[in-house]
Amino acid sequence: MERERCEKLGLIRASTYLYLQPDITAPGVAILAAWTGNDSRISLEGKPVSQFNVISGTSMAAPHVTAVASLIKSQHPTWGPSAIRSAIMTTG
Amino acid sequence: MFNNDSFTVPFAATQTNNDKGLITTETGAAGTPYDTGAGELSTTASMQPGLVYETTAIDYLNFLCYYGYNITTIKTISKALPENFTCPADSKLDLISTINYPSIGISGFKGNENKTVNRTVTNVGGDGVAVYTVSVETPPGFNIQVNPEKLQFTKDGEKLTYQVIVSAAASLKQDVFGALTWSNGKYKVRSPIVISNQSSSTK
Repeated sequence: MERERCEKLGLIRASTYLYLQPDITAPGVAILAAWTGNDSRISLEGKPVSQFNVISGTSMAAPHVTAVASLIKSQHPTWGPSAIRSAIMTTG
Repeated sequence: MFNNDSFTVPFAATQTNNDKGLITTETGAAGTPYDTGAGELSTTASMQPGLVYETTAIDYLNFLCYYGYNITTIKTISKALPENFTCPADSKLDLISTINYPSIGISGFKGNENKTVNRTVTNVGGDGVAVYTVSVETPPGFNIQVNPEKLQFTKDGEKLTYQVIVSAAASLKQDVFGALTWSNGKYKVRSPIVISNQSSSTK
C-alpha cells in the first residue's frame, strides 16, 4: 500500500524562517481532482478527454482545509477565523 | 519518567500516518512540527474542539510590533487601527510567543533560564460546566510547568487563562518539540510546543 504523504499547507518550508511555520497538514499527494477537459495528454485513445486528474501539491492540500473550515463555520456560524483555525489545529 | 511538579509523560511521537508509522519527510526522516504543524487535520474532531484559542486583532497588531515594524508601517498594513494603539515598549521578536495562538513556540532560549507564556482558552464545548486537566509531553532535559493544572469552566463562552513555564538547566543544541493537551474525558485540546535557541530570522 502506498504510504500516505502530505503536503504542508501554508508556508512551504523552503526557508528556515523561524517565526512562520506550517500550522496544519492535509492530504496533498496523488489527489483525484477536477481538471480542464482539454488536456489531450491524459486522454486514453478513443476515449473522451478526462475531466479529472491525479495531482499533487499544496493546491491539493489547501482545499481540504478550506472545506473543513467551511464545515466548522456552518456548525458554528458565530465563530471567527481564529476560533476556526484553533479548532483545526488542536484536534490535528 | 514522571515529574512530580506537574503531569508529564516522556516525549512521545503522536503524529502518525495511515500506515500507523511516523509521518516522514520526503527524504524519509521523521517529521517534526516544523514539517507537520499541529499534525494532520481531522475532519470530524475539528467540528467539536471543546476549547478554542481566540487570537484578537490586538494580538495581530502586536505581532507586527514584535516583528519590528513601527506604527507608521503598521498603519499601511492595517488601516483600521484602534484609537491610541501603540506598540508595546519592549517589542522584540521573541515576544511573538506571547500572542494567544493555539501552538506555543519559544525562541531565543539560552539555557539555564525559564520562559513563561500565557494562553487563554474559551469554553465552546456546549456543556456549560467543564473541568479540563493538562498533560504535558516534555522534551528530555526540560521542565514544563502549567499553572493551573486544572481549568474549571462553569458556563459556555467562559474564558480562562493558564501559564506555561519552560525551564532547562542546559542550553539547547537543536530545536526541541513537545506538546500540552487539555482533556476533560470528552474533548482533547492539543498544542504543539517548540523550543529554539534561535532568536532572529534566517532566510
